[in-house]
Formats: sequence, structure tokens, C-alpha cells
Amino acid sequence: MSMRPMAGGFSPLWRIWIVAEYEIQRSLAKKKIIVGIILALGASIGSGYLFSYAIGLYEAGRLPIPVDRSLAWIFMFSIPSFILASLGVLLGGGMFSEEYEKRTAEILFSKPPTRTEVFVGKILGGLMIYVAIITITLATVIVASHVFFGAQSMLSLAPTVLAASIYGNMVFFTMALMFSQLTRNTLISSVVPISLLVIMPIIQAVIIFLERTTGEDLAWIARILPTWSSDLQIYVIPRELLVRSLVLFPTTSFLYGDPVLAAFSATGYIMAFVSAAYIDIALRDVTRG
Amino acid sequence: MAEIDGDDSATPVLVVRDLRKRYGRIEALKGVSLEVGRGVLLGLLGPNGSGKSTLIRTIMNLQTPDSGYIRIFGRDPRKEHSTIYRRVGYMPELPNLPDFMTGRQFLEFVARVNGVPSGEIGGRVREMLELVGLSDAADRRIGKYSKGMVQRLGVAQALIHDPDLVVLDEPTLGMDPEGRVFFRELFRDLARGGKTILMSSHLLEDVEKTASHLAIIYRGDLLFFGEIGRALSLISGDHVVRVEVDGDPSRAAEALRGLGFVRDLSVDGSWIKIVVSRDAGSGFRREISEAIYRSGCLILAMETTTVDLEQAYIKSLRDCGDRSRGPAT
Repeated sequence: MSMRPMAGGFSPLWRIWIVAEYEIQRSLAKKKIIVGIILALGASIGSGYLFSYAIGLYEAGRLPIPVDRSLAWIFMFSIPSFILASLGVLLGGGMFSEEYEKRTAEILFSKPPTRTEVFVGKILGGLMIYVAIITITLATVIVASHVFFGAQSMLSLAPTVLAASIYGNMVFFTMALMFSQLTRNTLISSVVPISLLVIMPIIQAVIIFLERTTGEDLAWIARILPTWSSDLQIYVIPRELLVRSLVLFPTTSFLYGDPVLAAFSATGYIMAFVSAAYIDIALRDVTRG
Repeated sequence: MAEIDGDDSATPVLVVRDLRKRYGRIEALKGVSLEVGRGVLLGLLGPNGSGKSTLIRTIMNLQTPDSGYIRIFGRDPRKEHSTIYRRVGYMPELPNLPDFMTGRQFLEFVARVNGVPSGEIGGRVREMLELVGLSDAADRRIGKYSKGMVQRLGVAQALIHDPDLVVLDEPTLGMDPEGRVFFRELFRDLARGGKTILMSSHLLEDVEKTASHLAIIYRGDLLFFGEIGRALSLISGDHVVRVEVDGDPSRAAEALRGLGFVRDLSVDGSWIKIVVSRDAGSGFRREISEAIYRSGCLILAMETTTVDLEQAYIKSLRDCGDRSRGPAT
């Protein structure tokens, strides 16, 4: 074997980038992620048929809400939001736990990247895929809405909607990766956040119902739940556009509030989840026994 | 603290001092200390659960000790992780490698993450694949590899960046006999070339035929640490005589049992293995020959060695006061 001296790039950023590439390759090799991407794209395009049906109803005078076909892209991007959020959970939920479950963590953490670099690299890699998926979904939606419903309006909002969607979805993405590191169990770290995604809007709806029936100020309870901040993409769209594009979310429409507050709330959750995961990865033994 | 001096290195490659690690009520390491110099091939022996893997994982910064410290190349690996582990190759026991990658992709990843210049990666990967006999399977996913192939790839990834310290946890586990012989030779060559190798194994033969130095760990205690030859002479001064006989070996064995200095005896085909007490005089070979002749057998071959590692190992464990547990085999 040769004994050549080594040189070349070996900076922390370089190591983080290599780990990020590793995470991208790892994530894209998972069937559930590929299925999720196909489902998200399928749901966006499929929602076009739903919107078309709603237009038919409106034109027949059977729908009291005015539907604007030039805002189809808003409707079509809102429909797969649960799938996109779930995809974030799947990406984050397996990020660390799968390394422990498959016992590849021992190899990964014994290499030159520090625990911090592995942590940052893996999140960066997962996030890059997630951003790409959301961006591709929005781009597909815009193209499909043009094809199905003609010229679209308010597209100047698209970059803001995209940014808000990415940031809002990071709440559950980071929640999943926190569980992934803390529990080292992929099933738990995926099922718990997805269950919360399902349950919390119901809790929000109940709270709003109680507020409206009792007259007490209970909305603040709904607003501290992570699902409120994760719906950030809704809040950056003016309310009348949401109505005209048929994006009817009973709870969030009642809770429709300051997007800046929602962004702050999301930031709080993201920081808390990431910090908990980081402290655990930094202090806990990679292996036991 | 026991000490091993390498050929010419002023700074020991690896220093472990008073390392302690506890899992709940179990004390996995009870103040282990050792010092390893350059060019040393240290065999780490111990039964399952003795603390071998804990020691190795602590050296690799995968576990944090409760007290004590480790220095690699004179530096603290907890403070200079990247700088230090760039010069260390590690292969865990029965390595689990990323099954979504091909063998080639994985070696490329390891080379890059260890800072091998990009212009050299392709050549280095080919060299390693050829070395471990995986060139034909290079573009197959690791998930499709057999256990033995994963083991070989595990060795390749530990060596691809030309490390100065190589830490191998049961490196030949699951390999065929041919592979074991090949890798033993490879590890010896690497140590001769100046690399320091720490190799744990439950295969005593591997350590005996490969290592220059030996550490025996049991229930978190370092029972012995030093050169293999010194280990054997310190642990026991007994001799082992192997005799091949022509005739009925059981009759010869019967005759040999009558000799006062014979501590143990076993028959394997035409070979008889006799453990001779260290107190035997210099004429024990002659007495053995005479006893065999008297039994009506002829001696075809006779070899005399000091006690083998397996016996030394068993004895060190027995001396530790626990006769209920045998060595890991």
C-alpha cells in the first residue's frame, strides 16, 4: 500500500458538505421518500380536477363562494400541504435514528467530521432535499394551473409563499429530527409528529368552537400549538385571495393572524427542537456497551 | 502503568490513562492504562463483555469515559477530533456499512471525508478494492454483499486514507480461512511499515500469529499488557511438546501420563500435545522419548515451544479468580 502524504481541502465546511451529500444520497435511496414525492406531485395535479369541479359548481350557481380560476395555483399548492409536511417528518424522522438502528452511526461518527459537523451536515442535506421537493411541487403546480386554468394571477406572491411554506414546514421537520435523535427510533420519530399533525388541527378546531360558543378568549391556546406556526404559508396570502381560491381551512382562517408572529413562533419551535437534538448528539454516547 | 515502546517514536501513538467507564451498576472499564508506540501491533484479548469494545469505542471518541483520558499522537481527541481521526482508521466489529451505497461509492465517501485529495481518490479506491478482492463487486450495492465481503470492505475503508493508527475490532470475524491468513499478513506488513495497529479478537490464533504485543482485558481490568513473548514467559514458564508418533498414540499417551512433569496431555490423530511443567529439568525431552519408545511407538517428529497463547490466556483468566468463565472462543 502506498504511503503518500495527504493534502487538499479539509475544512469544516468541506466536511459538512460531504456529510450533506451523504444524507441526500441516503434520503433519496428510501422508497418512502420517493413515494411521498410522487404523492405530493400527484395530489397537486389531482387537485386541479377538484378545482375544476368547484368552478363548474360556481358557474352553475350551486356554489355561493366566488371562485377565481386565475388563483388555481394557490388552491393546488394548498392541497398537498399535509403530504409535504409528512414528507418533512419522514425526512427528519429517519435522519439520525436510522443510523443508530442500522448501526452505521459507529462508522459515521468515527470519521473526521465532528459531531457538530455531522449534525449540521445531515440537517443541511435533509433540508436541501426538502426545499427541492417543495420548490418542485410549487413549480409543477404553477405550470399545471396554467395548463388547466389559463393565465394565473398574483404569481408575485409565489416566492413568499414558497419561503413561508419551507419555513413553516421546518417546524415538523425539526420536531421529527429531534425525536429521531432523542429516541433513536424511526417509528416513534415519524409516528409522533404525524399524529400531532393530524390531532392538533382538530384540537384547534375544538378550541375555536369553544371560544365562539363561550365567548372566552381561547385562541391563544390554539396559537401556541406548532401546527399554527407551521401553517405560515397560509398567513402570507391575503385572506380574500384564500377565499377566492377556495382554500378553506376553518381553524386557520379563524386564527388567521400576523405572519410575523407565526414566523416568530415557528422560529421558537425550530430552535427548541434543533437545540434539544444537538445537546443530545453532543453529550450522549454514540454506542453503548 | 505498563508501557510499549515503538521503534523510534518519541511521542507514543496512543496513551490511555486510568480510563473508567460505568453503565449503571456495571463497571465496564476499571482504570485501564496503556501506552502504545509506533509500529506496534497490539492484540486485545478478552471474553465477551470484558470491556474490549468499550475501550475501543472510547478510543474512537464514540463513548465518553467517566474519568481518565486518552491521547492519540500526543493530542486530546475530544478537543481535536478532526485532526486526529484523519490519521486513524477504524473498523467496528461486524461493521454495518451504508447499504444504499455501492462499495466504490462508500470508499469514495470515506476517502473524501478523510481529506484524501480528489485527484488521488479514484486510484486509491481501485487500489483498496483490489487489495481486499472486491474489484468485481465494486459497483454492487453494499446491501447485496455477503458478510465476508462487508468485512473486507470494512478493512478497506479503515485503510483507504493511509492512517498512522489502525483500530480494528474483530477484523477477521466471518472471513474464510484464506481471507484470515491474508489479512493477518496484511496487518503484519502494515505494522512493519510503521503503522500502529490495535486489533481486538476473540480468535486467539489471529492474535498469536499477528500481534507483537498483547493486552488481556477481563471484566474491565487490564490483566496483562506487554510483548507477546514476555506475556507467555511471565504468565507461564510451561513448555509445550508436540510429538507425532507412529503406532498407537493412546498407548504412548498412557505412558507419558506416568511422567511427573506432565501437567496436561491431549491426543489429536497421530499427534500428542504434552504440557510440561516449568519445574521440569532440562532432560524432559529425553524422558518423553524414552516413554514413547517403551509404549511401542516410534517418534516421527517432535516440536518444543513455550506455552501457547491460548493456555496463557486461560491461565491469566483463571488467575484472576474466576474459573466459571472460559475464554471467548
